[in-house]
Amino acid sequence: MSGGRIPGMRQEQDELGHVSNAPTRPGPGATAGVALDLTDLYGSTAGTAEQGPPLDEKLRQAYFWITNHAIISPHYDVEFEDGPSRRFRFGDARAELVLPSGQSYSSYVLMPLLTFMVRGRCLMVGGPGRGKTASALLMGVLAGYTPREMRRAMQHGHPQLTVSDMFGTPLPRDLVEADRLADVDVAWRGWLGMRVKIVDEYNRIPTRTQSALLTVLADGYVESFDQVYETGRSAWYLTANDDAGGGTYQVIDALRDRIDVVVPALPFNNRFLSALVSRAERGLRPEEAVPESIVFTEREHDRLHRAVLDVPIPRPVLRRLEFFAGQLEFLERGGRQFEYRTKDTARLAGVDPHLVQQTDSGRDALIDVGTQTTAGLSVRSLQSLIAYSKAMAYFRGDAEVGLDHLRAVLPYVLLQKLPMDPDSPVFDQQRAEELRLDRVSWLRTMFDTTCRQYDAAGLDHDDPVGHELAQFDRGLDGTPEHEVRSRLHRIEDLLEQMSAQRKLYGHLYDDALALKYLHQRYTNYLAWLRWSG
Amino acid sequence: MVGLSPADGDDPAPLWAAALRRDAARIESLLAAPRADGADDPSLVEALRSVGPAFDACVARHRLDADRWAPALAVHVARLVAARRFAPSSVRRWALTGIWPSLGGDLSATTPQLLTDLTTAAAHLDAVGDVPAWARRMAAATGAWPGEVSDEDLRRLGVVAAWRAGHVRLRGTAMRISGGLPEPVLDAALGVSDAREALQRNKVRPLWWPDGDGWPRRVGGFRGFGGPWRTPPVVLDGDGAEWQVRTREGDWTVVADAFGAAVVPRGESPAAGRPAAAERGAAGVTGVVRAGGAVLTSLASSYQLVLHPEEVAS
Repeated sequence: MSGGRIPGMRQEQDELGHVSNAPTRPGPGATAGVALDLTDLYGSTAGTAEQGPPLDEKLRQAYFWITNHAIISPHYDVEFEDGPSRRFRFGDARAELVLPSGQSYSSYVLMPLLTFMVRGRCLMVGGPGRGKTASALLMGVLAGYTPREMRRAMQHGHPQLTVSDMFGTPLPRDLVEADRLADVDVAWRGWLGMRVKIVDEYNRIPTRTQSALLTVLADGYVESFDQVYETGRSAWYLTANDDAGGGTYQVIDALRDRIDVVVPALPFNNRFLSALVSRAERGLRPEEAVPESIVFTEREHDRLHRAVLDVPIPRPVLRRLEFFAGQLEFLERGGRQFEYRTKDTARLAGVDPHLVQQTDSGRDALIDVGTQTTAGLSVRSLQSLIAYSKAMAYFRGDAEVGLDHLRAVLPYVLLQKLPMDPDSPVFDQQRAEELRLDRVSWLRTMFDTTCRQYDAAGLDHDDPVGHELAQFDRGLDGTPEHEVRSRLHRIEDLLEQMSAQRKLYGHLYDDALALKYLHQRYTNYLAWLRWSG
Repeated sequence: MVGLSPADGDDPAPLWAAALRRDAARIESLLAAPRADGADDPSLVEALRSVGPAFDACVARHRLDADRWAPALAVHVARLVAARRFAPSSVRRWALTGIWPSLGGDLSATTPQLLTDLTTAAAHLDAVGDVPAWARRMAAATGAWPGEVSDEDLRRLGVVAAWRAGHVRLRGTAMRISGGLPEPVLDAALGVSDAREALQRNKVRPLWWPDGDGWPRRVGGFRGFGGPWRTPPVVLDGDGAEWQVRTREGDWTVVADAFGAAVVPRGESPAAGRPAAAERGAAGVTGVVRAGGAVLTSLASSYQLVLHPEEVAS
């Protein structure tokens, strides 16, 4: 880091920002060997050319430095269990407090850090003074920029913000002298090339400028006066006081959809007021005292991103995500043709899917989680879910994505991507009313429900459709005609069995369509076999 | 500066006070972050005063540059105060106020990194070994060091002394380092007159040491009483220094030698082997392994393993 220090600091001040020497998450992956060495006694290898800790350890050190020193966020709402956790119930509402048995985290710090890892797009929402901008600034400092650079680069949304203000202006001389647009040089704003980008109060940006922002955010380039500037991949942090339409301008849907994760600011715990007072009295700005040891160089950031992408996601975990997502889009009376029985069909017809759902009295609304939403998941949402699950696993030092990683990030990824149907009968149940307001818990509860259904159906051990898909994935090369016919019969048998069930639920709908896909592929292959003799 | 200097004339650490006064503005700025992290002024003053005599003793004895060491010591102490790790009974405090000034030899070539090394090592050792014994051996060994002692010399010496003070998992590293230490230093660090000879023998028979006694020794224990296990352990295998043990909750490695013992969970790599055959006629014995001149026995009725040299009856 070239900056980010108190002026006049010398080498001794590197010790100011204390970062734990002890492993931040000792566990099977981080178990020291039986024999220890010099480093284990002294905690570091001072005096030698230090390689630094593994990147996941460095990330956790950064996380704990932020929560201990920079952002007063004594919350552990992203809970992990390592054995049974004690639970306590309070008050008339029987509010449950869990003491997680595993290392747990504050979503408000964790989600921005995961965004830093995957170079995603994070929206931080919450009232004024909750530290949204300060958190975003810290992410920039973690990327090696000075607080001064980050402050200068931060884009502040306001109703007069124009495309030129945001991205750059054409050179006046060129505007006068140029014969063609392509001859006009644009003085691009410096922030466009940075690895961390912050847009403060993005819902105060005029709609036209939002559209221009969309191409940068989504596709990594910006166009002005026929000039194109490639910004490269970066981590984006957007802030908004209110993301429910309370900004100066309505946020365009496409921009909203490009946001990978939304993290609501948690309220200040007043028992920590003394820490706040002390900080104010000292006048210290945490972003100016970020320890160098938790700053990521550009190469480390690249390496981190690649390492996260390399984390495998095992089939059983993916299967549960499929099962969950499969329940959401299906709308039995949304169309006539089987493929069109979706919420999308109803929405495109200008009809609220909720109204169509109300006419569907056959299925048990309490079991069918699809009735709780008015839309399904987009492919982009699923990609975000997978990326953030991988980041979560990597952050915890785990070798592959587990169900707990997916469960931890799911509510924040889907918070504004999955619209709730607040009139669903599920919310009229006792103790479910609060889920209408607490969307994080709602999404987590919904995912837990589908996991229980998945377990009840024994799909980990008995998944005939999955078996057929796996068999097809092995390839058709050299498959004889009689084998293809046998597979076609099996598919038809499976569809026969499924159609014999009285009710059609979302996951069955996806299965049926997958079987139709296989049937069609085998049919085409059979036709080719016959043609080729 | 936070009112550090007492009235003139009764200052127990004049060099420390003078050094802090000389560089007051910079030290004040260096202390800003620990203060913001929760180091309150009264605790800070008390802590900074407590290290004054040690600072004066070391600066005078080892001809240290007071202006270089004072800011480093002040920041180091302030950080510990902010982390609530500098209580009067804290081993880290004792490392600075007791162990540092007790070091002998010529430390003029050391750097303030020494302060971090001493406090970190003392804190690590406190959980597994005998810190006062470590401090005595460090004092004796530095006193016997010929010429200037560097930071790296001290770190290497600290490992050998820590092993001797009971940190058995440093055994391999300490053995390797021992080969490069001057003879009188090694003797002082290990507390015997011919340490090289003793080490040669100990390499083959880990429980042997010239002044070794106190056998049999019990290793492990019930978790409810501070041990590692919830069910009685069964010994599976061993080579005299590392023993494989199994309980219902998983597999473990017991590391033991003449100076100490440690129990380490094996994590995801299970121990190989079956329970060692119980000796004929020994009632309640679930496993006995003999190796490297040592015997480790597990009992059906005990959460502790019994370890002793072969020549000593259990």
